[in-house]
Amino acid sequence: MTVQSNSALPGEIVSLDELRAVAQDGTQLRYALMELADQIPDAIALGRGDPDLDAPPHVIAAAQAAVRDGRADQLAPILGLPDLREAIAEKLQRENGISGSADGVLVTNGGQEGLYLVMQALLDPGDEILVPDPRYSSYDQAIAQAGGRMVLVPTEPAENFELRADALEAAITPATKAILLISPNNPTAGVISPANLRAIAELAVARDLIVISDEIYEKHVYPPSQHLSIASLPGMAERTITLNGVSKAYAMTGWRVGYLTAHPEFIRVLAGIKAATAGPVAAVSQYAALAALTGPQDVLEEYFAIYSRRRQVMLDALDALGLTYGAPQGGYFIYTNVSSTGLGAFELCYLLLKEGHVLIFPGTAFGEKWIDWLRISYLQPEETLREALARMKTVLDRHRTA
Amino acid sequence: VALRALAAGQTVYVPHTVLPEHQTALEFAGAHVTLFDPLGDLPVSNGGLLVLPALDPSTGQRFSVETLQRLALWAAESDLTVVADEIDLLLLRGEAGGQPFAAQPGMAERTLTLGGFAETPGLAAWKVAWFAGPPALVAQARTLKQAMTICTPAASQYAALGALEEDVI
Repeated sequence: MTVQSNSALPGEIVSLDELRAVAQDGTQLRYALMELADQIPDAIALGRGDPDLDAPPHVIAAAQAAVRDGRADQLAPILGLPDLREAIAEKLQRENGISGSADGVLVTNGGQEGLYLVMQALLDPGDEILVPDPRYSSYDQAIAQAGGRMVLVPTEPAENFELRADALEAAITPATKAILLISPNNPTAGVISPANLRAIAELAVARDLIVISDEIYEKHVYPPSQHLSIASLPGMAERTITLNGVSKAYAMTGWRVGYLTAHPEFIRVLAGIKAATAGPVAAVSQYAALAALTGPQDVLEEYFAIYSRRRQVMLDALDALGLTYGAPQGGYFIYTNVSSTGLGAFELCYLLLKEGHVLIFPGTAFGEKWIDWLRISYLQPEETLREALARMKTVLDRHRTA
Repeated sequence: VALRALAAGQTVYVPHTVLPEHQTALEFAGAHVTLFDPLGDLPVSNGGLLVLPALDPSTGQRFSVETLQRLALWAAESDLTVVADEIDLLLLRGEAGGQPFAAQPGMAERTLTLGGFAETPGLAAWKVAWFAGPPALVAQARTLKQAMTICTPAASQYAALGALEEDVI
């Protein structure tokens, strides 16, 4: 896919219709917008969920040491470095209350590979999986390739997009095999409360469903919301696959290290697919991840404080612009309603990029019906965020029709 | 990734035998595999995918220049898309037949070439490979790559870039 049309000079943006033409699905739309932003030197990216903060110094030092002494040149086992798997199992026990050994851990090429492998191994053609709506559309292709069918389960702005057990229950059919939980949620920043999570666990047990719990944003939960791992609840460990990674917590997206925990037999199935596809995770990245998980953890508080301040900057500005949102409970996105502007989200994102040089993803990248919504990330320094917000105001003042 | 993306539901032509590293991807893709002898009668085809390893599985040697020319003519006449797995080809630089298959006349526009750094000293564990070809084929494979792992670690890519720039291969 390329979005650079013949008529567009370098640095010149394509037309709205050209953008629509290449954006066949949510993932393609996001990548098309990112490619356009790459052509704009002073573009401010509030799109993708890549932390702008540096990885912790001890992580960098560990990777450098692995390079210097040659460990980074030794091909890692397909399941992951034994020390890293052990450290992950201990972390899951200590922080998440998930019992298990390193046998139940698989190290993956980012969280993305974990979810891809799980869908391929878990879903047979015709199986249904319940997915919260709006959805993280990177799951779409993984589910589709397995022959699975995504059944969208509504979440509501008025409830800050918390996924509810009763909404899940209403969507269950005889073909339902699994429930996908993403808490904190991408794109909505909704967090499932412990009480609701317990109800979902009871539902999963009663209806004999597998739960895939994507907890990649677990370190970014804003009080009074709190994170709870569903696999720690009674009867859930044996029916839950928990996805996580170091990308978001430790600002290590570019190192591409995710992990998942599940029953050891299922891990072996996943390893078989992994061996035939992407192979093991780069050794240097695994040594970096090992340092992240076993080294000083105070950096997490520092990161969280930074994200918390940025979040407030964004919320205050969105209020001033007259935009509404589901109050973000976790992660670093704000799912924002722009219907008060009279502009559709797709058109507004195009104008923001073309005229304001601000990259934001429209809600239609996360579900067809979210035509009035934007997903805004705040992974930029505060000063840059303020500049982006000023540009947004200029564009909105110019084009607002309502 | 490339095989899984391009072989989906296709008739896939493979010389002599399917390599173990291609087997699972072709199975996942639901490909209909047809084996053929590149020196014998070539299958009659109207579309599909030719998967061409860098080395002839029956001899362990590079295909002869004449064989590659013959396969290129056949691929063009039969409107085949080609996946040329040339991970090992860099080791054959300067040898007869060490040219990429995509360099054959008419093949650049229908060939996705696979390369990598697994054989580069010290770089196997950094897990970097690449594919290159016409934009439409690259886009098809890239979409699957994004769905599978999004991207290759940045540190690994800089290491591979260093290897290319310093020509350590």
